Amino acid sequence: MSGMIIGTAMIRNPTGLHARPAVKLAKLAKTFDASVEVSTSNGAWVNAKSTNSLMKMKATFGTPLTIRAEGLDAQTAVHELVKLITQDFEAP
Amino acid sequence: MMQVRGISASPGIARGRVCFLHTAPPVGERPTCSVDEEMARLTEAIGLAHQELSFLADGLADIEAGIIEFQMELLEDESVTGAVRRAIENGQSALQAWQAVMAREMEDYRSEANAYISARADDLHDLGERVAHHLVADPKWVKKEPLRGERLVLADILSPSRFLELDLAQVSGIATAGGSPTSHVSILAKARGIPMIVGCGEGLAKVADGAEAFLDAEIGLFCYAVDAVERKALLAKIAARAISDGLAESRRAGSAATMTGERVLILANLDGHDATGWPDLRDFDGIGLFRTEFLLTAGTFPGEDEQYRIYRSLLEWAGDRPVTVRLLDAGGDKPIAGMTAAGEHNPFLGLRGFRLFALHPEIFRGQMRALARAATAGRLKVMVPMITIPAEMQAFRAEMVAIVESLTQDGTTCRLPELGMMVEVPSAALMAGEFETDFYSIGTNDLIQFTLAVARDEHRLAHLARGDNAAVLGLIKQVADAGGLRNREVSVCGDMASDPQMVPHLLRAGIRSLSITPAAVAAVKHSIRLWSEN
Repeated sequence: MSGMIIGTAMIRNPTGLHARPAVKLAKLAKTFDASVEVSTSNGAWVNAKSTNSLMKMKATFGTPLTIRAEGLDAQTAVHELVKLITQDFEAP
Repeated sequence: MMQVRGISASPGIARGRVCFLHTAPPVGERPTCSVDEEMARLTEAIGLAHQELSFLADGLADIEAGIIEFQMELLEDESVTGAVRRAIENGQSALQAWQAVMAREMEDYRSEANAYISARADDLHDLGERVAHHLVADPKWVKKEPLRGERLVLADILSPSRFLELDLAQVSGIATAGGSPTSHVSILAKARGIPMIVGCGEGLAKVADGAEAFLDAEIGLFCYAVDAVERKALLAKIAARAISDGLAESRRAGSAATMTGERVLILANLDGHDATGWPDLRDFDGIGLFRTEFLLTAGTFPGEDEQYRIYRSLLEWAGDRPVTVRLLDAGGDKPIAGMTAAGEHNPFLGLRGFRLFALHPEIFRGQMRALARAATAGRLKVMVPMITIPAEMQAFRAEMVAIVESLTQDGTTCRLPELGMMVEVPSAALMAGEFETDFYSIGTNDLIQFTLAVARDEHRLAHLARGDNAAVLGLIKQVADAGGLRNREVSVCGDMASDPQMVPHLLRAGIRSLSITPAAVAAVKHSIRLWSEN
């Protein structure tokens, strides 16, 4: 597939990717038209626009996440999501 | 008197009129309609629930908003609503489908080993109920009577969103038939300072709506149908508590801890030496900043003996609580005629704080001698303002040690107090680990102005001079980390520490000691109690 953009980021929150970070991630993902998916190194791809699915990934502190997006704004989507995770979910 | 026993979930004693909150599971399902109509019911119920939650989310504190936001996200979550829609297409009613999906999701969360995730099952239950009641158009649920006066809210079980929906100013206490003291609601009630007992069982159902009742969450007791004598005794107990513990502002007193139970030291910033204007010590773990500029009268600093008496009485007043006295901090925005340099082009970057030692060693030595003598009267800590490089700290320490030695030789009782530094200059923050210091105290006002290059008195640039700027917080975190590594206390004594909006940022940066303006104590403690790492 041509339009697939991929990025990686590490979870820096000591308590992992749970409610508040997951809400922030899903909210941000929903602002893009591109389909956005996230996975841990050994897990399945989940829809980044679903807080519920993100929670269930149980991504803990230090887990590397891979983000992939496909669509018109895929590049921006991956860039922004990586930024959010890298900044430990602090809004800029 | 009739009594119902429960488990204390949030301390306090309260009186009020009983107000029942309907929280029973939805009953009276309407007959199942066509797939299209069931779909429409679902959409409508989700829409109503979303509306209610977004109305609620406005104006909530951090952790409270977090709980509501998570529920709102679930309402829009394809992995939840998609499953419900598929079940409706397969012939289930909207209610059946919704409840089945929510039950399954809840089970998923509950079986999770990670406590952060499993606790979220509470939120799913909360949301599940809200939508279910809308699906059956439960009139009891929808009806919201405004609460008036002091109300004791009774319910079978109370969810976080139902709790937050209450007009909490009118709620004097809460008692529930079910529930647990560790639930989200109990935590919220504690943070809000509302007495609450849980696990009261069937007994509550016998109380008449509107009847006067008493709640003693200290011992987990709910009483109603009290006679005149009992009533008088209960009211006296409430009054006694109000006076002795200051229940009117009960959350003011007592130690502050985060949602996850981490202690945060709350110290007071003090001006002047008139004890009548000082705060109630019970609200504080100590004095984090005693400003000595205020001892100046008509441009002259009191002599050594007078200062000694002032510091001594300060330490005696504080008892076993630590007191941090700051060396004279003149200059910058605090020019003192005859002491600070005249005609400085940029006084904020000039001879100020400990830099003035070079100009007036006799004033500083007098103050340091007074402090060393007073140090025997309590837990004295002395800090130096405007430290830029490690050599300044070494010089200060050497001076202080020499003073103690000379006093000792003269046979004067004295002691070397703990010696700490203010961190106001970015160089001090960046190199915090390099300084020979017993503790750090971050002065955020100067740190902000130096990091962001905005003068403190330039109000047109206030939008730039923000404590929640990432660079400022990064520097604060560096100091917190350096202190943590070397086991030195790091506190913040600038205005940022007294701002409840900024407190979460400081806690996140690793700060666990705040020195604040006394008037802010209730708000700052509230902010701490609502905070958790995530």
